[in-house]
Amino acid sequence: MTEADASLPIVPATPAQAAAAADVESHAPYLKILFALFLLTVGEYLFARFLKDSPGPLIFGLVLLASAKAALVAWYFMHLKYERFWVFLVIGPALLMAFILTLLLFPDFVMLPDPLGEPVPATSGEAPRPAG
Amino acid sequence: MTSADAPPHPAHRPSADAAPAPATPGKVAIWLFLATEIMFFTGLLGSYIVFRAGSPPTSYSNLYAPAAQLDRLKDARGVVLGAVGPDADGVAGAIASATGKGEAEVARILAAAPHGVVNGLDEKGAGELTAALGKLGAKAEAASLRTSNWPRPYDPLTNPLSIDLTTVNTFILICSSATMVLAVSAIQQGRKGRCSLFLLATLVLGGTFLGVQVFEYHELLEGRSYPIGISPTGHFTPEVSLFASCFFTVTGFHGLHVAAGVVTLAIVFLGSLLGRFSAQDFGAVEYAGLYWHFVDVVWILLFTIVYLI
Repeated sequence: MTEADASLPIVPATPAQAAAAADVESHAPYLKILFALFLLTVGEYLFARFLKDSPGPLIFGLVLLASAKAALVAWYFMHLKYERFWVFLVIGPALLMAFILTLLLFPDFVMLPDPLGEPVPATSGEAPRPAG
Repeated sequence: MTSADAPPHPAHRPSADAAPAPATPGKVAIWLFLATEIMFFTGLLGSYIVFRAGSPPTSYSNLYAPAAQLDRLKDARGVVLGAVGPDADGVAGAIASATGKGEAEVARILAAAPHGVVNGLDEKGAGELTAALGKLGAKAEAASLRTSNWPRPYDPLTNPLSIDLTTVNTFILICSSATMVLAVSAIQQGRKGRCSLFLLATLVLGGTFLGVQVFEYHELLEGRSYPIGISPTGHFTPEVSLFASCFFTVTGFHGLHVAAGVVTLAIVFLGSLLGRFSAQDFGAVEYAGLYWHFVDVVWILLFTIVYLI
């Protein structure tokens, strides 16, 4: 494999390329990202406090805010922004399987029995009366 | 500032596309490991979601212990004891005579104030007990039965978790992630002293997060008394409800990961102090950082799902 094979997912870097990559990563706007994470955390806290009695908007908003926070950490702090395609090839199948797993579990929480709609079982010690 | 700490020409910065990060064997290994960790935590959080969403709507209530049979108790009433007041013995006697509860159970109700719950009453009995407790100087109010499929956030009668404390703790972990990436950034620029300093900050913040979690566990397991809607024993231990089991399993496994991360960071910090890393050789710092950020990402999701929703 030569240095020209840049289309392949894994290409050994020359020392100069490695130094250039490290230079790029080392100058990312980390404190700005931290401030954004602070704002999102405060937003999440206020959202949860003031919408605690509205489950639909609460879940939608909180999942959105949490996803934004997780994405910021992964994209900037974990340097996904600066990585090559091979990293996405490694974590892609895991994320896909995680998604499928959650999707497969979905029937378990949409096909619920309604316990209040079922007949109440006899819990007293009395024997049932004979019919007629 | 020593020559080793000097920034290398900050004005000349190539764009991100111009220099993608190299694939080293160590980095491939840590990303493969993180892929398995994604599956691990998906299993945990997926199970949590199914248990929660699959629980019947009468699983938790403000007046009875988790998983109590509430089918015949729709008209049940109770009294929430907000404050015991000056005559604790009188209050205990009034509760005991109104409900027939034993001494230990009444003591648990008093200990759980301002969220002590007296159950086993009808509408008339709840009104009479509320009036009697008021005459004794206690703060009490009658309550009717409310049920839910899972403990709600900010409901002290069914949910013992402190969102305020954990929000602060979450931000502590996020700050530790920021100091970690600054440590990597420093060593990439060849600033060894700065790298050690940020690693130490990460270590301290990570240790603080763990310390707060240990404090939270202590409060839940032993430190406080909770009303019967949370636990029939007064303490939030893993066996008292499905919510408790799920909470300790999910947060416990995450806590173990944080503890492993703190140990790793301590080793990397010692290596940094000994001068083992440089601008050309910083793999260990970067891999420890990737693991630490992953733990942070998991907590961000876990905090939202377990505490806030």
